[in-house]
Formats: sequence, C-alpha cells, structure tokens
Amino acid sequence: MDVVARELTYHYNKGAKFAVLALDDVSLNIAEGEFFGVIGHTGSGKSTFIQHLNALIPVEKGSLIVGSYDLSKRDKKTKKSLPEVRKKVGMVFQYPEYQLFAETVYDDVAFGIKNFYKSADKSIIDQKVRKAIETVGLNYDEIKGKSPFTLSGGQKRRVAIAGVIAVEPEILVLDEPCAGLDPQGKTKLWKLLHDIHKTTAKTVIIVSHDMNDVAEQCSKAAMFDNGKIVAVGTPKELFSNVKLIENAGLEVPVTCYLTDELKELVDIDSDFKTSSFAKAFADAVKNR
Amino acid sequence: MIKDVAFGQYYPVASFVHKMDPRAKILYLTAYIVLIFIVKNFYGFAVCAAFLALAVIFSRVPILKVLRSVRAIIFIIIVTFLINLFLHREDQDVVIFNWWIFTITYGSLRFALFMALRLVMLILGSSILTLTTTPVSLTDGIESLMSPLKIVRFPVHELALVMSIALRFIPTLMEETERIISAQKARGADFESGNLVSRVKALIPILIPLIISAFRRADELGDAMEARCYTGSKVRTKYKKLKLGVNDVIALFFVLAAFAGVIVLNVYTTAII
Repeated sequence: MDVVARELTYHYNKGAKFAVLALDDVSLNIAEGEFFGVIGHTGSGKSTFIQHLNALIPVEKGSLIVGSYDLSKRDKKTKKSLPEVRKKVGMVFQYPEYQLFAETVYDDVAFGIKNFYKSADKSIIDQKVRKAIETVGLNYDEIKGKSPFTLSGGQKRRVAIAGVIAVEPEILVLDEPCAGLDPQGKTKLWKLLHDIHKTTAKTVIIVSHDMNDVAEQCSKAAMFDNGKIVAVGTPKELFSNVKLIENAGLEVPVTCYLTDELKELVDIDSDFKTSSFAKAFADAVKNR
Repeated sequence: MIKDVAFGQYYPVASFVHKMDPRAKILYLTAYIVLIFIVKNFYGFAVCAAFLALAVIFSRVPILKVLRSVRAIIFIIIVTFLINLFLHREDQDVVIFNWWIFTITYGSLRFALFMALRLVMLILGSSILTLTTTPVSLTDGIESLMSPLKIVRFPVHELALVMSIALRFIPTLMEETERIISAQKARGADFESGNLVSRVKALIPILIPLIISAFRRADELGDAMEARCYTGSKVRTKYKKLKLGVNDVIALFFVLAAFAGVIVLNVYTTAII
C-alpha cells in the first residue's frame, strides 16, 4: 500500500477565532516497503499528518490515498471502509503503554483482533496473540495471564505494540516509539521494528525528533516545519544540508557535525550512520 | 469533538468586566441571583435583562458566546417548562387548551414562561462570570471571600488549592481522553454503534486508562509539591494580590440601581404579567 498525499491542509478548531493551521499544503508519497521517518520539532504538524493516515483525522482539504482507499471522499462507501483502513494501517501512539486497559496481557493484545476480525474463533485469536507477543520479544506463556499494570515500563510498551501488530497491519505507524526508553531498550526496540518491517508490516512509518535515530534507522524521511514539508529524501540527502535542518529547529546527527568539521582535512563520504561514518573516516585517514 | 464542550470557557479580551476584582464579580453575581429570585413580574425581568445586557456590552464577549451557555441546560429548561405548563394551577384560571389529561391555562403558561426565563437569566449571568474570569483568579476570589471561615478552622486555602488543581487538570485530562479515544479507535474500538449495553462496555477501554493516568498524575503532582516543600496555608503569600478598583465601584452602582428598579417594580406594579 502506497500513501499519496496531495495538498493536504488541516486546521484545529476550524472556524473558531483560535483556529490553528496544523498542515499547510502537504504533498508526500510514501512508497510500500519504506522504513520512513517523519521528522520535525514539536508542533510542526507531524503527528497531525500521521493521524490522517488511518482516518482518525478526516481530510479537510486536499486528497489522501492510502492503498486503494481514497480517504478524502466523504461518501458512505468510504465511511464503511474505515475499519478496513484502520486494520491495514496500524497506529502506535506516543507512550502507547497509557492505552492498556484489560485485566490480562492476553485480553489487551486480543482487543484489536476481536474488533477487526469479528468472526475469528478462539484458536485463531490465540494464535495471533501468541505470534504478536512473541514478535515483540516476550514470553507468551509467562506473560499472557499477567495484569499489564504489573509489568515494567519497557514491557508495557512492548505489550502495547503487540496489541497493534497483532492485527497484522500492512503499514505500521509509530509516534515517537522510543520516547522515555533507556539506551538498551531503544536498541532492542529498533531491532524489533526492523524485524516487524521484514516480516509482517510492509511499510513502517516512524515519527521522531531524534535525528541520530533517523540517520541510523530510516530509508527515507520527510521533514516538517510549521505544517509544511520542507524536505524529503534519504537521510544522506537530508543531512547534507545542515542549514535546512537547523532552520527547522532540529539538531542534525552528530556525524554531520563531524563530517563538517573534518571537511578540510579529509573527504568523508558516508550516509551519516555512526558505523558507516566511522568506516569512511578510517578509510579516509588510511588513504591520506 | 471533546474540545467543543464549553468548560473553563474564559474568553481572553481586555474589558471593563475582565479588569474587575473577582471577589466583586462573585458578590455581584450573587446579588444578581438574589435579584432573579425576588423578581415578581416580567417588568422586573426587563430590569435584570438590561443589567445583563450592560454586563455583556462592557465585557466585550460576543453575545453568541454568552448565549451558547444556555445550550448546556436547554434540556432542563424544556423539562421545567413542560412540567410547569401542564401541572401549574392557579385560582380563577382561564383554560386555553385541553386535551385528555393535558391542560394549559393562561396562568400556567405565564408561570412556565416565567420560570424558564428565570433559569435562562441565571445561566446567562453566571456564564458572564466564567467568561470574563480565569479559573485561577476565580479560585483566588473564592478563597479570599471564604477567608473569614478560617476562624473556625475551616481549611479554606486547602479547599481553594483542590479547586484550582481540579480546574487546572480538566484540559489535561480532556487531551488525555482524546488521545486514548484515538488510540483505541486505531485498534478498532467502535463507540458509535450497537445497543446501550455494548456502548457502555465500549467505554471501559477509555475509562480505565484515564483513571490510571489520573492517579499517576496525582502521585507525580504530590511528589513535585513535596519536593518544593509545600506545606499549606499558614505562611504563604500571594504573587497577585487582589485589589478593589474603580471598576468595581462603578459596577456596584449598576447593581444597586438594578436592585432599586426591581424592588420598585415589585411594589408598585399590580399587573401580574
């Protein structure tokens, strides 16, 4: 499923005196198979944009096509297809552990499955829950009967993510998935997301304001500023233009500064991932 | 959708009424409410309406914004109106309409209109207070007005603190609710279809995370207050001291004029209407 947005515009509190322009003429393509980063500082419109993708926010102006669904239409047929859209576009909100509610981990993970596969029988639900919990790296038999509120923060987040991927969405959208995690938890989560990208979800869309993460993880990224898209491209393309990123109120990856500083001494050509930067740097020093 | 609920509906403009001392506004509102209840006829209401109109004009709040507050209690108004219309009886009454057990008389129609008007005036007056006063200065005003109760060891300051914390967290919790609703919708939760039982059941995935987060926030806030050595009332001073000003005195004259008008009309008008 490709995402094609054309001239998407959205206001909060439309019509009121305090209306806020959250999206301003946003056009963006996200092709199937990308590990896509949506970046921008707080209030830049990135969260508003991703909530359009599964029709949590209705299209106000412009057009948005997700796979075969035209979300800009308001007719009955489109309305009827909303559950389908939400099934195919999974959304993990910021701090997803705050949405846990059920008595057991099993029930919470099964919530989405029961909503989207109304006729599924117990064995199929069991199987899907088990698969999701195991995908996020937890022990199904050990954890399924526990109350989600007794788990640790990192485990809670995994359970919440399991609740979304259990539905097997084709596009998985995550809003700041690593917020508040320790470095180890972060590394694990990134690995997990890449695993999901390889197996179940064809496209993964990540919202982040940590440019190091984007440089390390994403295949492509779009940068939002003030409700507009200011740049789209691979991390390498984006981070070559330090000024642009800084003007949008973001910090470029550390490797960008290093490349910049070393420019006059050695020529380093890397995609700003720490590992490839180190390798390129070592090579450049060797060749000198 | 939740944002449409008008609460803490402060309307931020600079005006005569906005600049008034919250204590004065609360007192004048109380006086106005008393006025509404001692009015005996529609002429008296005309005086109250004139007072209200002046307050709206001097508050620079759009009239539609003020009228919107009626919407919140429209159901109560209609029910009271209908009950009074069909059940109120007066001596020597003229029947206008009669069908089965429903009877409308001239007296009941008049009385029903009168009571409905009273409710509308009540809510309109109160909404001017909340539209022109920030929740914070409102609680400040209440705290100050209740301070005589400190003599009998009534925890006035603590009560005011509870109130301002509650008010402060309403928007936060609303935002939280909206986020939880979105998150559960994204997981296929359906709040709009099904019968009553299934709709109530559909609220569980919203309410439980919301209650848990409220407790978490309360814990965090308690810790934060303790970390700042918050101990309560005794030695606390205020950053913004309340001060009565010229506006409050001018407004007082209007309140007194309205009172005088209503009392005169109550005494000297014999017409029931």
